Amino acid sequence: MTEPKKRRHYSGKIVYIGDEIGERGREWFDVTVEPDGTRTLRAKCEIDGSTVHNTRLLRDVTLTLDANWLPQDAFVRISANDRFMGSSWFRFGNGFVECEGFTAGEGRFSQRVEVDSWPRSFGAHPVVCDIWHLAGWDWASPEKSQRWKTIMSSPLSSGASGPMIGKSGIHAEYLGKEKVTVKAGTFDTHHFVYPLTKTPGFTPEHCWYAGDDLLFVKIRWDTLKTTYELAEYREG
Amino acid sequence: MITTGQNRRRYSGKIVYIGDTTGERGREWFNITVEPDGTRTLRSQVEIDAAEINKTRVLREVTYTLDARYRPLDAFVRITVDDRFGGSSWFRFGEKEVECEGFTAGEGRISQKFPVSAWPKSFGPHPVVCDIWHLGGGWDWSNPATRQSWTAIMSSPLPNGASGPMIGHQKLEVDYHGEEKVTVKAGTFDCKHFSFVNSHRPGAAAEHMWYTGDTDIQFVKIRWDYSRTTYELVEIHDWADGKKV
Repeated sequence: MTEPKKRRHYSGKIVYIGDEIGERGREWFDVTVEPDGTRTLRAKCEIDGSTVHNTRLLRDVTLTLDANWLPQDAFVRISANDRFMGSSWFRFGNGFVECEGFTAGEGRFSQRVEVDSWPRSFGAHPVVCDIWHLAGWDWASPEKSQRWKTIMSSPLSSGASGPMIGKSGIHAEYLGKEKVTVKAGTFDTHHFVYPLTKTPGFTPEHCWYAGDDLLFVKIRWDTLKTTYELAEYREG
Repeated sequence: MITTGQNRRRYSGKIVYIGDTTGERGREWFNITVEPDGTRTLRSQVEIDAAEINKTRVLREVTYTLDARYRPLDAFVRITVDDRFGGSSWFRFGEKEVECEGFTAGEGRISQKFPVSAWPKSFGPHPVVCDIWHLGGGWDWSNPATRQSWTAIMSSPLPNGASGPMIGHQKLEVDYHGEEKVTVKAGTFDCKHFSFVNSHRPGAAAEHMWYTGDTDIQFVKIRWDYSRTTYELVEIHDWADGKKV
């Protein structure tokens, strides 16, 4: 007898729309949530080109988080300008992050980085993950501006290096609730902004997400002259 | 408007696993990109509800890249067994060794290096798409023999792949039966018919496989009496055997 499926499943597509060039990238995401809250994202990102990075990119990411949105393990693979750039596996624990990888630039490498505690978020560079950093937001705190440490797979805004471990920090500000309309529909969202004041020349990155799944709805980042919008969404 | 277009091909589809007595008991989504140099990446998600021979539910994630000759380059395999973490492992292939770095519920953190005498011809991370892709790197069309064999690297020795993932090796014995026209839910296809002899698995029947295409080795159907299951292609999108759609 076929046993009933217990996991939840949702998927969608995000388009990257350049102010001057129109659609310049796209991201397909597919998420399963196990009965215990374990969440796995599969994302495929294509970047055609941009006004600040003249690199075509293909990125594959599989990222698993626990019920508290803490990263468990991840795989990141990138091709740049149709050529292999890197393939890396990450594992997270209480006080450490490790990475085993092979990149066109560095060859075979093994990293183990000690950290204060279990990393609260991981930036693997799908824009879905830009929003998922916000699972680290402490809603019990009245502070509208919060900071926490994070791990990134690349320090570049396009993610076109490594992939390997980089330590970084999140600074986020909460701007309140907003109703946002994108191609996939109209959503009641939370509006956050990353001020990004540490990097000279960077403008704030605005993010809007909906619901307890932190469903990506929209990002606007003037630095890349790009709006990222949810274009398709399906449940089940 | 795309100003700097992507040069790769991409196609996708879905396969269902139909048990003789249970009906649909699993499904597999595949999404494939092929770069201009022939490098091929499969993203596969597999759900097995239950099996006739393995009483486990499985969720499997595979991202697997091969070169233009269908030789394995690197792979990620993650399995969840009965809704619990089973393992997460990364594989890399070369002409002198295969390595695996992983973490599994049973074994903890693993690091494997497995010496090989030549670049492995094929890798079995257990999506049924990959059962057929063994033939891409392994079968030698310049050889007139209709039975050929080679050693493949596997991520698990179990039929449902629900262990590890870690390096194992297995000798494949394969028979070629000729060309056949096969109809499945996704359409009617001109196929090549092969079977794995499965002499390593006592009591196991041969696994029969049908694929179409010359460039893309596209899964159409598998029938395996041992698992009392027929695996059929039910959807395929944007596929034109080596041509960009």
